[in-house]
Amino acid sequence: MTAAGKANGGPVTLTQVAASAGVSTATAARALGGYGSVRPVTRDLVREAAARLGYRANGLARSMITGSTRTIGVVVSDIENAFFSRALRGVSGVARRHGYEVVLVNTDEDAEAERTAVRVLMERRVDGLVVSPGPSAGAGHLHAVRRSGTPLVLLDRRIAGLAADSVGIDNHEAACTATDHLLALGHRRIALVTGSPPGTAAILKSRPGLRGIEKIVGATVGLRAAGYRDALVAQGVDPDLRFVTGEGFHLHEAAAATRQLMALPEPPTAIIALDSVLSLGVLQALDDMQVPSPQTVSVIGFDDADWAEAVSPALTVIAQPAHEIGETAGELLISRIAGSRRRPVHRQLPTTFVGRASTGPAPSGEFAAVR
Amino acid sequence: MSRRAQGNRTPTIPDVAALAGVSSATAARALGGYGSVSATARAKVTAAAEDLGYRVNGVARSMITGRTMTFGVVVGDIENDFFSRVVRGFSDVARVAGFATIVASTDERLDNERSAVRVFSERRVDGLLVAPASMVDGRHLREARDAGAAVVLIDRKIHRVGLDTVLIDSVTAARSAVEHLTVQGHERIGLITGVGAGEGPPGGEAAVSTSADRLAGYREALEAAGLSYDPTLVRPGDFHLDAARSRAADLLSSPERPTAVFATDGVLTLGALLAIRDVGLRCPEDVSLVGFDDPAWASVVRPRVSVMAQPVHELGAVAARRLLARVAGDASRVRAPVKLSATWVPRDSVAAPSQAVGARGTRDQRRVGADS
Repeated sequence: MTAAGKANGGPVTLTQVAASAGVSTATAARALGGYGSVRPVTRDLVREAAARLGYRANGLARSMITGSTRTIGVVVSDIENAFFSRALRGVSGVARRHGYEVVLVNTDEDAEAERTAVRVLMERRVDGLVVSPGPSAGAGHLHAVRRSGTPLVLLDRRIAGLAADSVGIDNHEAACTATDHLLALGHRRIALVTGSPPGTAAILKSRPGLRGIEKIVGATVGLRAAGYRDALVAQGVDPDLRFVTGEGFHLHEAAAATRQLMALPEPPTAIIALDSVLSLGVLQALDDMQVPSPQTVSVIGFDDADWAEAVSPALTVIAQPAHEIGETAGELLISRIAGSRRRPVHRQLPTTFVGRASTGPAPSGEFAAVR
Repeated sequence: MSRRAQGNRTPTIPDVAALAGVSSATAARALGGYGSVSATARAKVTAAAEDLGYRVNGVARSMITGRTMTFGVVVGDIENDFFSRVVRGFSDVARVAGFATIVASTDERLDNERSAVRVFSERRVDGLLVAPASMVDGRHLREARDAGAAVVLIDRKIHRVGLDTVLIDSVTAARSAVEHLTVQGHERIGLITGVGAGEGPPGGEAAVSTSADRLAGYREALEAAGLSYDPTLVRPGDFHLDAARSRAADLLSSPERPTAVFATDGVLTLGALLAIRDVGLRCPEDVSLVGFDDPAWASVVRPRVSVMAQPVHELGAVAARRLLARVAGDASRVRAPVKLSATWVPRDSVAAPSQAVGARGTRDQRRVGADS
């Protein structure tokens, strides 16, 4: 259903396509039918004219004619992460209710994979995109989406200067809450397992006292590191850069970061892990090293994974309303696809502190020493 | 409906050409990546395309090249650790070969699977990897293949469908898993398994082949141990955690409760573990547990769970190589399914049955065995 098709009150003819492309009808037929000899350039011009005019050659052409594929593309950085898998379920539920299919691309936090994913989904002509931007992919590909007019909603993060809706949590406050909980239990040597790649971690660690970190490190990591910093400073504790790690987002990398932390001359008495996969890596490493938790090291994670109450010790977490975040993203996107032109909105949903067994008082000797 | 359709606001090749100051033919060549274009013209066209927000029409381009360099993956539940790891193994191999991977998750519903396959097929993916929700209905998959997409089945088979299939030998793996319980003297062994979501239109409720095969393996192990099959110990249902947890709690609350439980996938295993605690029993002292698949948490919980682990990454990789071969023109006959082997990972969740519950005979037998 296109403007041109409607205006004529009848289907667009091959002759009209040919005239618009400036070629003979026979050439247009060959170009659209995919038979005979047509120069690639001519073929492109004819097919574009066909799309523009709403010529219905066959089923394949339909999506490029109507402009609607009834499909939403979702790009996430790590589907094994409980936050993303639940958010995806939220998006999918809303999409299906509105008659849209959801297709997913998992980027493994790889910047190039993220740009490719966005390009592939745009080329497949999705009606809208939900993207969780990784820390290092930049924003050029997302600006390109906006320029194309395709609706875009950001998950988990907003990008300054990009006119797109976003849904997430108050990352700074969430990290403050986690850090405050540990400070209140008497901990002073509190480590942060960020899951950043080593390059990003090097930037984090290049800032004495983590000052200004939220302005130079993207995604949620910068904001959460800043929340951690501000909570410590408010209690008169100088952020110790040796306690800030980033070995990568995989479970084994979080385990390696934990082993390095525990090998320090004065190891931390508490660890904050910034997502569910990282939390599990921390617990696994402590378990392997037979470091009792919470007696020797308290652990607090982000995201309330299904296994969080089953592990030993049961994990204390900052729970994000991941499913609701996904649903909200889906609803915003559907309203944009339906033509809403309101100013971009940035929704922040509340987090929940879930206290379990993995956090406890700082070891008494440590507490005395601090005093 | 879409803004593209209203008044041609979507930039076209002539728009790009005009802004770049080149002919439409040159712009088309530069954007399409074929023919000869000077570096200067290409740079001008690229800049103009970016300024205008011009989008290469992948659908149109694919009509020209015949390839979209895209694979579609359709699985029951991408949240399930098993599927997310299989997809990782698959997409790692596909990416090296230049193919992007797009995933659809069907919530184990056949109607969702049909529509995902249709969407991918219409969008002309070069190949489809599907973990079918039904072991009997594969017509939509044959149609997709006949329409030009290569199709490989993963994890599950469909009877007489004539499609390449990559999976593990589920009968043997389940039999071996249950034998680790019978050998300890367990006689009442519960089975927590999945059948599909069981909701939606007629035909939406469909058994998957892995569940059928793992049930068969369970029965073989019982038979080999001289035990009779008791259907009241078998609790099929959907694959969601909460449902599995309440099925297992119900089973473990019955007067003739089992002394051991076998769960046939990772999510079901977690449900069973949580249920053992929910009803106030200890694992393995009161109830032994054997799981299927080896999710990362299995070694961090207490007790660490003994599992039958699948070669998840390899399953995905082998399937990707099969699909790449088909896309490259391998027209050989479809052979019997490629069957990989599962591995037993013994941990701490299995012990001999306690004397407390309906297993007196077993305990006595075990004593005899220990004395001899």
